[in-house]
Amino acid sequence: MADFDTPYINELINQFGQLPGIGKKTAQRLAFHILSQPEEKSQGLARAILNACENIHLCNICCNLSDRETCDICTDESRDQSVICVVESPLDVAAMERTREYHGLYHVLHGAISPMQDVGPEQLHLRELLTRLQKNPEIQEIILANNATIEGEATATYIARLLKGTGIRTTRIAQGLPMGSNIEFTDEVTLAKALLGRQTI
Amino acid sequence: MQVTHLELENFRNYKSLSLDLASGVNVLYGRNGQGKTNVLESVYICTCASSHRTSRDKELISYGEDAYRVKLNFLNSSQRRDKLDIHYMDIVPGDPLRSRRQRIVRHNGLQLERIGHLMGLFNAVIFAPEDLRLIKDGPQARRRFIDLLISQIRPIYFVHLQTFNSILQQRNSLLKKLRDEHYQPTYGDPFDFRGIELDTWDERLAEAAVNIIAYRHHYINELAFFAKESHAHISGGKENLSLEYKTLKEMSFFDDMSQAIEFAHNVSGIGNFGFLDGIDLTQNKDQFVQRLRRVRSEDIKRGNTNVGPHRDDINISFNDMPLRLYGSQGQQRTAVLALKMAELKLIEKATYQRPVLLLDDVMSELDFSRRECLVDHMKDGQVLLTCTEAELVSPQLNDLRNTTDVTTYVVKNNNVIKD
Repeated sequence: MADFDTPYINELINQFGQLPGIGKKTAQRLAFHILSQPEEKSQGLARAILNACENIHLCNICCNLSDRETCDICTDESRDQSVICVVESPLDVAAMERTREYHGLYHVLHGAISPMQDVGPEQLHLRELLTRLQKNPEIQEIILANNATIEGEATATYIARLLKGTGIRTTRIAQGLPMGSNIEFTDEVTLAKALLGRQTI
Repeated sequence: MQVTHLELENFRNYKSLSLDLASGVNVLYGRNGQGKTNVLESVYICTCASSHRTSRDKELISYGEDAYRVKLNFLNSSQRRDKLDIHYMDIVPGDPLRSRRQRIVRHNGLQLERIGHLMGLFNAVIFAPEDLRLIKDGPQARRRFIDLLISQIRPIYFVHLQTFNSILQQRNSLLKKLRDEHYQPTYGDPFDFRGIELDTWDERLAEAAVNIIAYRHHYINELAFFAKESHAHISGGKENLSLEYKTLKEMSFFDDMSQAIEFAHNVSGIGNFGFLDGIDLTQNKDQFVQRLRRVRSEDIKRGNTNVGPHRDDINISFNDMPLRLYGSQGQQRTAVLALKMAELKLIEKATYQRPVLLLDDVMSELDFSRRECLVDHMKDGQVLLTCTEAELVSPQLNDLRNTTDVTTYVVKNNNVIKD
């Protein structure tokens, strides 16, 4: 993408262009926006990026992102220590937390099994989950909240197989219509599943 | 279903074509190489976004152009006006911003999110010389035939197929990886994590596979019934055509299940919104998983999944002999005609609507009794038929003129003009 005379600008555009969802044109616009704003603002952005990189790492228990060695959720003793909700990404933890209905713990896998992308179980943070289960006999239930994709379903199945015979209750979150949504905008697979799972009222 | 108007842009030999079609029988005649078949092909594309002649969309674009467009106006199953617009672009590499193949399908002006959503909107059955492949070629041709047929009746089947194929690709990737790692199956060692990973994909594959097998089992049975009937009619009851779904032998349990589905659909009235509503496939799924386990080391050796719906076939036989090996050219043609007429009846039964019948140059290839049968099927519903000028005056077409409306069009100089 080396279109400009100065390597500084090209480097900036290239860096933006590697971010997810950013194409060539957006990368150019972002780069020129950075250069046109007051320098303090750009320094603020650069500092924010560096600070985040230096201070954020994985919680030593649940592998969620945190600036402490152990994250706030894992240190919160008021939470239900007997149940762990397994999710694919830190964004999923944020989504679950917004429900305010779940008071158990989490475990973040950082991905899903996909042999085609060369992602096997060993690339996910599963070892940490198993260690947790060994160390904490009070854990009674694992809720698998993996995405409802082919890879997410496979990851859930894999974990369920690992936990078979351990006596820990393993559950998978239900599928169906999103609340407050219109039937007309729902895809046919979800609707078909919702029909099969209909209940008497 | 009835096509009322067709527009083509840069489709095969047509730079631009605008054609009104009548109800009843539409006869397109002209010399060879004028583009009669291309008109039928463009109409067929509106059923499933792919051609009956080629799987490469690029071949459909006029020479030297980079996009084709097919616009179809038709009366839908509720006799209301509907529009489909299929736009395929294949832009030559070189311009990085546009070097992308893209297919845009619009239904009444709205863009469809997935090709799967096109299935079932417009139904047509095509009968062309290429259909002899159904008998002569390998199992792939027959799988494609039954898959497109079921997708027209049950669009969600198409989604099931896509899911199955994605899982199959994932499992095959894993098998190749295990082969490269020289993995030896242990069958149940709790610390054999590779084995557990493969178990996982076996389970996912089995779940998707039994769904597909259930649909195929049911609809091949239905198709067999109609094909036998049509065939008896054509051959005067002398020959007996039978279709047999060939899948994993472990799936014989499906015979009972098919009856259960039939019962659910016809007697109790449930199941109209879910093909497998109330049908328990757990036993089949377990049997499928067992089969995968038995061939596991073979699968790893080849880096490929060797059993499953992607290896299914339909055995076609007449008087209990395989048609492909023992049927004469004429007998094979009769069987194809019977299959196609069965397809027409099956879609009609399932959608309560006669699909459009597309007949490509078939009059010349059939003998008298078979032509009679075909003409019988042309009396209701809309038909688009291609033939040579000489066949215009054939006795069959003349008979047809007495019972139904026949409109003729001459195809020449890359244009189609009503007589």
